[in-house]
Amino acid sequence: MAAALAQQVQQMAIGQTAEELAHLDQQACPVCGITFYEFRSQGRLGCPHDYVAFQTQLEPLIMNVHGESEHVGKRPRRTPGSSEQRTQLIRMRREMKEAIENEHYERASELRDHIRRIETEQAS
Amino acid sequence: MELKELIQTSGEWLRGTGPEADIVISSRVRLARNLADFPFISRATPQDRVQVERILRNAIITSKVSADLLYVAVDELEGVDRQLLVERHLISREHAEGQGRRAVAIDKAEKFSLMINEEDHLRIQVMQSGFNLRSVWEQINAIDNAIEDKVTYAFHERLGYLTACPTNVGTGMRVSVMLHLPALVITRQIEKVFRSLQKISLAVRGLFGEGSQAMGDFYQISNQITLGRSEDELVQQVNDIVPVIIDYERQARQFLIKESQENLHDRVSRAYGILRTAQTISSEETMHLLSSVRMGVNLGLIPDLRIADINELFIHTQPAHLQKRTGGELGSADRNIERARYLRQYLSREDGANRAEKN
Repeated sequence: MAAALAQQVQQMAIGQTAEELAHLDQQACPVCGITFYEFRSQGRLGCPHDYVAFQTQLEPLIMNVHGESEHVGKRPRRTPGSSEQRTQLIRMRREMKEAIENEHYERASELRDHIRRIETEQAS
Repeated sequence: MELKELIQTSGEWLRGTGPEADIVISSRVRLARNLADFPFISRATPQDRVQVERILRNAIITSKVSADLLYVAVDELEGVDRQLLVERHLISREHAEGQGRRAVAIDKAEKFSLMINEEDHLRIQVMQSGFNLRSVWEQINAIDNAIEDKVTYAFHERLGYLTACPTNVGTGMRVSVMLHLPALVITRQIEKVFRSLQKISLAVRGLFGEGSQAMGDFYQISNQITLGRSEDELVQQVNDIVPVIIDYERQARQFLIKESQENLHDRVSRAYGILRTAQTISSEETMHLLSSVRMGVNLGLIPDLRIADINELFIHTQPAHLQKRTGGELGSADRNIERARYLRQYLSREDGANRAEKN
């Protein structure tokens, strides 16, 4: 499946200039930080928000694989509510990790408190 | 329930019962799901994995999907135990060989398993012996609903369930049947069947799924497309094509009998003879010979054996099963000796048991 996907990604590249490709490759998801190039080489996305962040790049790929672009099947009975808040959590956990790595401990502890607040809100 | 109990039993999908069980070994459906507020596995930190595992473990246990659930931390298992789970189709190879915190929950009858932190946060699979996709879909839908009550899945209004690989997006569903097609292999028609399946975007794989070879003439047929069709339509697509393939296989078997009943009977009997008397035998040869014997039993050429027994032998002669039974690590040469010993013992026991029943 991964090989088939790589092939699809290659095919998609045809018809785009090297410059356009390089630009698309460098785009990064603001939530998880993965670049489109990284996705292309691994065949795996980094987080749910990638489907939004890389919409331009993924759309032709998805059409190629499935021949369709709209889900018609089952839906969760409870929808994710504010999906904004959900992806925010992914982003903040990443920022917290980076803050710790860069020894910005004050920022890290702010983020930690914020994350906990959202997690408790969601749990209740 | 403990892991070691597994080698005493053979699990739901090997029972050899259910509709068309002579050709359809098992029906299986799997769903790929992810939590909305964590990165997918490729970008997950070790802490993310730990949290995802804890959240899903709680969800699975409190949703009471089964009264008797075995919950296993896959990353804490020995290699041979991970391999054992792969051989029983309870986890994927990818899950066995993966890294970091990961787990699997298995119901006692081995009708379903839930892999945590595989390619997606959650992979649910339900298996059943024979050709019964509707019932499998209903069961997995109920499990999915029960877990969904406890967690929030990553879901997109237009694209459906979001998965780590865009090839699974939408329903996140793979519907598959495991078929035993020895006569199509012997008559060299199997490639033709595959090509026509690929044209209608169905995938064909070997016994152990993606990237595995078609050992023992077992083929797994599944949907390729996951988006733009409802779950019912995906089930229906596979449901419609399986009877056609079953029919081809039956015709090929009848052709072999008509062409030369003696040759076929000879082939089957020799295979049975080798399995009952060999002193050392590889896994590959075992699969190959068991495949002939299995067809022979279905055609009434070997009266003393049950399909369930042969199904069991296919799995119990795999490396990890042999090593669990002998209780130690075995090199490949020793495994071949142990495998031959096990086959001789099992098949002579079957003979005895059946004769006793008849008397």
